[in-house]
Amino acid sequence: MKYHKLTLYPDCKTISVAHGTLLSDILSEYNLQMPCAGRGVCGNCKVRVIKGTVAKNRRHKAVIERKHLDDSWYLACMSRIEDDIVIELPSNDMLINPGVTNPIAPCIESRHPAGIAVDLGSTTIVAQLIDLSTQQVIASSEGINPQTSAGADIISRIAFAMKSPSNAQSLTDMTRKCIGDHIYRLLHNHIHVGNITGVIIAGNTAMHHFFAGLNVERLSCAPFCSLTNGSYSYSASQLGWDMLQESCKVELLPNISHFVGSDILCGIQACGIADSDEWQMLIDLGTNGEIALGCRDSIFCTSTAAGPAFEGLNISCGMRASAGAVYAIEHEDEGPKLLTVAGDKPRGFCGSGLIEAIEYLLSSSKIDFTGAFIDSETELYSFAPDVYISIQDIREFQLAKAALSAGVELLLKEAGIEPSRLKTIYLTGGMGYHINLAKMQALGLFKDFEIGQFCKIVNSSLSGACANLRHTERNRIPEILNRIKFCALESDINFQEIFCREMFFSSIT
Amino acid sequence: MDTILERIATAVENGKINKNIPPRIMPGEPGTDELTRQALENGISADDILTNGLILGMERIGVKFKVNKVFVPQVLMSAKAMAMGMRHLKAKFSESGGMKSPGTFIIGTVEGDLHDIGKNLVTMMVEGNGYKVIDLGVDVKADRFVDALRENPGAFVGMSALLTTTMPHMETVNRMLKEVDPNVKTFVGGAPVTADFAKQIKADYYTDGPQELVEILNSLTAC
Ligand code: B12
Repeated sequence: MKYHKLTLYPDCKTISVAHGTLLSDILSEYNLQMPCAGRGVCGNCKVRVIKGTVAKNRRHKAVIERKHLDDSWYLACMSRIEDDIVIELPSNDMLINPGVTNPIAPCIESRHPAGIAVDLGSTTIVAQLIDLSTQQVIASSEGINPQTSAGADIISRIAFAMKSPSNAQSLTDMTRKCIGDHIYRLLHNHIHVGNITGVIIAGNTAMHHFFAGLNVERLSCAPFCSLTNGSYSYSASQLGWDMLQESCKVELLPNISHFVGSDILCGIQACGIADSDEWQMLIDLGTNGEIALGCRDSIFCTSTAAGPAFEGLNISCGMRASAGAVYAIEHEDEGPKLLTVAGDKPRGFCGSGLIEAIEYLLSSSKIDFTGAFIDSETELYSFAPDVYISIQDIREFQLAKAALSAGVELLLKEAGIEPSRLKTIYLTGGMGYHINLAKMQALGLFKDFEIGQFCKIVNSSLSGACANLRHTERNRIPEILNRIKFCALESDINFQEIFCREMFFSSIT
Repeated sequence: MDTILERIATAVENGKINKNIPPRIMPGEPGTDELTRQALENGISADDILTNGLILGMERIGVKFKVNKVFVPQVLMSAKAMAMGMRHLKAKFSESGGMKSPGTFIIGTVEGDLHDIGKNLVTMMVEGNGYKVIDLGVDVKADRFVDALRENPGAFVGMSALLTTTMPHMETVNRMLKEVDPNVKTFVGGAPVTADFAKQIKADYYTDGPQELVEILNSLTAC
């Protein structure tokens, strides 16, 4: 193997590097931000080659030109070391100043002020570019939260972060970098960067702590509490988001409590619960199963830790709602007809598909109201080749459903409200929007409500984050927080009783 | 016609408490309440009713739970039916100087964890199989496990944890218990716990449910 000398200027540090190594692989230790994850898109990993030669292909040249940089500049993520070279790392203030160089070719010549709203979810991150004068969504960018590499659920990630400070730091870094990446993509071809007046980020409490780089130890076990629930303000440059103007303000919204974050606060705002004369409820059908119940006078909220079944996870053939995911099932004489995302060959079940599959098994008498297969020899039911529901899957769903039902019932009791008094029950979260309400109730979930009381909302956290781009809405947060009361379920002696009762699909009494 | 003991076992297995509760189960038939009283009136000994009626029923539900034929609520109902029968037997046992139990089982959810439904289920099954159970509750610090073992020499100890972050406490508890009594048999369980983890922290047994646990206890106390 041939080695080359790589000298870094201004440090004048020299390292020996194997022939053909990607420059960015080495520089990642030098705090070089790559919002686009090394795809040669963002231009953030630019370096100047002072001595020696580096091959630059056509695509590489085009990016450099688009960034209005001269020939001496290279993108580290596209540069292989094949010679002894001396490079200069840009100091922070040398990074592209978008306001001046305007590296992004705008195709929409909008002069309207705009803002960016981010829903920092445990599994998915969604960012939207909003035209603030019309409230219209100009562009949207979505992707998996990179933290999933450290564990699918929050507790696993907290455990990972607690192992070492560098683990914790890496979660913070990857989260910030990933959001920066989304913002870059939003801006690309869309708008003058100078028009972006602010960025608002909403997420659950653990996401809040990871983003802010706070110690998560106290979120790991009882007595649970957060280091702080406060909001955090940054300038874009502090976060290394130099695709934005340096002065652009980024705000991480405050949590409601150690178990309920600003994602639910935003949901409360998006659904208008804090301004409603009548009682309303918001249910997030996700892993944490947060529930908020309230009206103008007071708001109660809790978290039920349902587990990820509603997101199609922790299920034998579970998957996200991507191509091939069964999202609905029609009953036909010949048997179940599977509807899949993009019409692909069925590959597995997403959350809404899981509900429909279990409802199919129940209504076609494959399983009984307790969840057991009626034919005592059966342990699973195949819907398509390699796409089946096992008895464990049904049990996992029953636990999730029971936890959520118990949470709803106990919260109503805490507030002293009858189910029929609720004007609207908003369902949100991964599956909330696609759920078939009649089938959901056929499985005994939320059966105390009328179908007409439900309202599905795609992503209430994101809607609320968008609303908070307006100062008038943002300024109301402290006052709304004051009205919210968190209720802990683990201290409720009735939990087990209700939880067990709600596990079946219909009542045993 | 089944014997009365067999009928008691069936009532426990199905969670039938009395004629009216629960209504959808064995409608109109008597439950452990009526049947246990009747058996005592027939002159059957409390020991016999316990071993060949109530415990037999709990064993059967335990097996069904293990193979996923029934779920958590049914085990709970069986335990309630058993408790109803036990109420009638208790009076007899105190006359005859107490019931004999094959052993004592100490259980608790470890420090930092408030999940207790799995632990309660294990408690019911172990109790339902005739053991004396000392339930230390939730968020149990290592010292309290140790104190309980000191107060009950020779007892078995079970630890429950439902959070990845509280699981590591089991290692501390296990080590401290072994210092007090190197021969103590320890059990660990809960959703995130695995057999590998149990081995790693040197706990004696891991089982994913209560039935296997009871079987292990039975074999340990048989010799
Ligand atoms: C019900 C529930 C709750 C209830 C608890 C009520 C109560 N009194 O216990 C409430 C809503 C309060 C709750 C709160 C929280 N929960 Co919770 N909860 C659950 C849920 C839905 C079911 C657990 C359960 O009761 N199962 C039924 C019982 C019968 O099963 P089991 O406990 O596994 O026990 C069986 C075996 O494990 C075994 N066993 C158990 N103990 C022992 C002991 C021995 C010795 C042996 C041999 C065997 C054994 O036998 C049992 C029978 O087979 C699970 C999700 C899931 N699908 O498991 C999440 C779950 C356990 N919770 C979770 C979390 C994160 C929390 C919270 C931290 C967060 C929150 N609020 O959002 C809090 C913390 C609470 C606290 N302070 O400790 C996570 C844990 C993730 C992780 N990687 O650690 C889970 C897995 C959900 C998820 N994926 O996010 N929760």
